[in-house]
Amino acid sequence: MSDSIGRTAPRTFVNTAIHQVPKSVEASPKTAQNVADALKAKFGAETVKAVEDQQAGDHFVIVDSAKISEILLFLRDDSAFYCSNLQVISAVDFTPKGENEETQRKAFDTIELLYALQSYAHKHEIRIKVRLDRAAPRVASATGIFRSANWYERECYDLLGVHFEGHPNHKRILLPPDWIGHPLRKDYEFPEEYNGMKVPL
Amino acid sequence: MSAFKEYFQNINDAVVSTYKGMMVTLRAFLKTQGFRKVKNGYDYGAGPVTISYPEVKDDIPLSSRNRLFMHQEGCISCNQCAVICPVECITIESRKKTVEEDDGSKTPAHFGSKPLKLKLLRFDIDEALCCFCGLCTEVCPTECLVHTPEYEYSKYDRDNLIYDYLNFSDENPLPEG
Amino acid sequence: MKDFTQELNEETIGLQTEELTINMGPQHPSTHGVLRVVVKSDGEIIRAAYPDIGYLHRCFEKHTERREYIQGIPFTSRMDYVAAMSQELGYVLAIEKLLGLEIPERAQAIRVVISELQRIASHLLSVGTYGLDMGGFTPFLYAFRDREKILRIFEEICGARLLYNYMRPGGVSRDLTPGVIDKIKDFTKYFPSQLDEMNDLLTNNSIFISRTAHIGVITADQAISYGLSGPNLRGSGFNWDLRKDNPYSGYEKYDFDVCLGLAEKGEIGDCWNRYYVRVKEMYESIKIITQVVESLPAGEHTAKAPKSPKPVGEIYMETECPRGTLGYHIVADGGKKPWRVKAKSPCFIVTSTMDEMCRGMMLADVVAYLGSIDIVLGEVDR
Repeated sequence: MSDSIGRTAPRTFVNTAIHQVPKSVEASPKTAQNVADALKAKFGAETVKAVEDQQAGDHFVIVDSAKISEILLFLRDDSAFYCSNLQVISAVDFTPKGENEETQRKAFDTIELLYALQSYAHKHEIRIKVRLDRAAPRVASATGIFRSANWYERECYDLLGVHFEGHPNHKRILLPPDWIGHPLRKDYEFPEEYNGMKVPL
Repeated sequence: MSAFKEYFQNINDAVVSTYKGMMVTLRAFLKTQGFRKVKNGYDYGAGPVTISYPEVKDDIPLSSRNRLFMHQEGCISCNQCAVICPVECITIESRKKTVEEDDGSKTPAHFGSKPLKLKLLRFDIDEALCCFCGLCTEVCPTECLVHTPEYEYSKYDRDNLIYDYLNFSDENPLPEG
Repeated sequence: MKDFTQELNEETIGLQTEELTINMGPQHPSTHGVLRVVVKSDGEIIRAAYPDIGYLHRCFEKHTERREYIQGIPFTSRMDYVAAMSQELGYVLAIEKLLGLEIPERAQAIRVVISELQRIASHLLSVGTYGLDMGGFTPFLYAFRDREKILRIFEEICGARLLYNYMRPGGVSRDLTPGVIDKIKDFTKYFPSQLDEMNDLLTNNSIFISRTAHIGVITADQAISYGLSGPNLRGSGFNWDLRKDNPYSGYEKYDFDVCLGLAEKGEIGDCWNRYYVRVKEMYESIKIITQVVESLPAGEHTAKAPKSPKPVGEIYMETECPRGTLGYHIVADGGKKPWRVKAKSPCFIVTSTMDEMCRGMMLADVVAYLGSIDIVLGEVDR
């Protein structure tokens, strides 16, 4: 399949037709609690683990990592949410190493993955989180749902070592391909030398 | 017929749009003539916009953040600048004065003229590391650490960019300002 | 669009051709920094383009984890070094939201003026270097002449020309003096006529139009799926501007239009339209600056904020930077140092479009496409 100038359709993406929601759709912003209720109704009560209520800042819906693809697809296509933009995928390493009170409270051996979604039609921003086992963090790739997920996932793999199953090009992106370790993990130790070159401190 | 027309239309467009662009450059060229005096960066309109550096130097604002300078008599060894520096380019050592060393020196007048109890042993700034963020001058309580507008201080060796503000020598002259 | 492949095949029947792998960059003047693109070409036509980034990776996220919140501000300005004020603004806004600070009106107005001036400076660089990429040297010099005036104003305001470190949680580090306000007023009067000249010189030049129109078309669907933002999204005709749709720092008080690619030349979403959105945005920025400067509220330039803030909470917040929406994900654990700072950069994700968009392009058009998406490699690699 190619168009007049020989440009072939991208092979890696399942869904190329992403809804461009008209501005005429009446905006009805949803809160994190709305999202949690809708997900519970659609995927069962155990899908939503918690709704994290921050003292300040955003509200997060923590979901089951096994169902993240279905949830992202649902939030993208459901007319109540229409989250057509994946703003970012960001991974955070929480380890028991934290010295502060708040991180001690959160001291589970976990990597948290944040999917920040935004709706152009309803003008709401929805934050979905999954918690992964730090020893072997694996989650399904979202590249078939959002094209932007491709590089964000590669970055998460590069810097925190999260594996995205089904990613078409699962390689390092910012660091050289032969780099050892994942620098944004809290227990990362800085290498003393790289390819025979001494690393200045 | 339409292809024929389009062909000449394209030629016409190219000539007209290029002519318009050339007129802009011509106007700019004519403007610079007769205004051959050095102007600073705020001047809008006529005049040349470039200067012949290094023969002619631009007047830069006094608030400009360039090389750091420390007034030795003002420093109370509070160490705040060394702590806030994001790149750790300031090194301060100090200790408590002994009785013999107490020469009755006081903190600057705008800081209350209190007796100075600490003796400053070392105050180094590595200008090769400095990122000119200005955080150190903001936290300095006596305002003895300042950014000067001096920007020409390149050296052949990086070690020569470490300024020791307590011992000056020929290799390490006192910065102006 | 003419069918080049067919024509070539007919002419060269019987000839064997093979794909050639060409390495473009990382030290190449048209890659706007240290971007390496591995291009597979079939004659003049590109079959695949793999961008290879990371040459300017300076570990921004790791650096901020090891420093206090205030010390992170100089690092944010080093991400997108041609729009440093906007980068700092996003960072301090996120911290302020975690701290629950109330910002004085004057500080908010100053921030709007500064970030709009920064938008003009950044777009001028983009427009000027795009002219340079397309073979015109003069527009570059004209753009830098005007950008210099903004940098001079910034130097007087905060002391630095490029890496400002001006924003603080709670406000800005120095107040605007009456002298500076006069200079900004002079600039707003002077600048629109220069922009008209730029239109004569570059925008409407028919050679420039032939190089950029109908090239590198990103449809609105593609732009949304890729998560593009800023002029790249609006050039595809999609009306979305955070300053209008989710205002921050008092943008809702000012009257301005959102500029879209309207296919005055070429088609919606092509290189020319993305370029022209930037030119139109500069006119709008002047409109905003004029409104703010006319009615600059009196009062404090900074709120009473802790010297070493210790926020608690987690936030992801976006602001509209010249190159798109920049987001900061900050995990604050109540300590002096942030637990995690993640910057979502608009340039990072627009670079990932290269693979899809460059397929089937002519080789020379890659430069046109790269210039039109306006990436700054400092922000791509962080």
